Amino acid sequence: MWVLEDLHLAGGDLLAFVSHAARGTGRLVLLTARSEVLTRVPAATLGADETLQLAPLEPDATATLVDALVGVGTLPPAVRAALVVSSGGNPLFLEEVLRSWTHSGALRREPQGWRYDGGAYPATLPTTVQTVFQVRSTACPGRSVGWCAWGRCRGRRSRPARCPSWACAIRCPRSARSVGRGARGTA
Amino acid sequence: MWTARAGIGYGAVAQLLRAALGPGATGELVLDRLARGGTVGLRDEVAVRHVLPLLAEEPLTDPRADLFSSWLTVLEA
Repeated sequence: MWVLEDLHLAGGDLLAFVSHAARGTGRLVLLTARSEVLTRVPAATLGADETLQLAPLEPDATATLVDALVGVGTLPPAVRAALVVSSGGNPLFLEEVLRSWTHSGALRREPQGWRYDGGAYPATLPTTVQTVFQVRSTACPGRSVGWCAWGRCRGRRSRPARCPSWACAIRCPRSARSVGRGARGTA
Repeated sequence: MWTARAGIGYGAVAQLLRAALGPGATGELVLDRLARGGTVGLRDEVAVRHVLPLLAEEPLTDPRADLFSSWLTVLEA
């Protein structure tokens, strides 16, 4: 059994290979992707016998995921509730907001567990995963150093981040490819 | 079960092959795997020539259909 994750990030070459492999028999291939990939390649071309659409998480499940990630009671109830609403049931959004809070120091891991010091209620919560990445990149401590990388997201050239060090490499929000200092990102 | 993450190029196929062959795959290892899969012959040498450059992230110059056939042969051996 093969599992190919994030197929929406695949280029034409890999999609061609998957389509080629789909012509064979006797192998089970599990493909995970955002549904947008089906606008590029029909499911039948990928040999998909079954397409399962995953709906956003329900609020209760989202809250459970928050608790699983940072521990029950770590976030103030209002913060937890706001996060659940803002996420719209998107687990990636949830994880990235929490990750951004760890980067900013609002959330940190201590020997006894996670600790939140971000205030009783977040002033603003990002509304998209892209915004989370953008906020994280502008919060980079050494942004006066200058643009360190150019990224290309699906043909759209952009400056993804100012960052002073390799440790501050960010991920291009559309391609989810890390772009490091001095690198020329292509995706 | 072999897992790979999609991206630009054939990196995901290389991930699958590394999972199948283990670390540090050599031509002998690929041939041995093919032999255990019951196929021995000239085609195996071609498969080695198609698999090793992919694992080494070297340029792939042969026709795509030939590469795909070789990679699938090794993955399924």
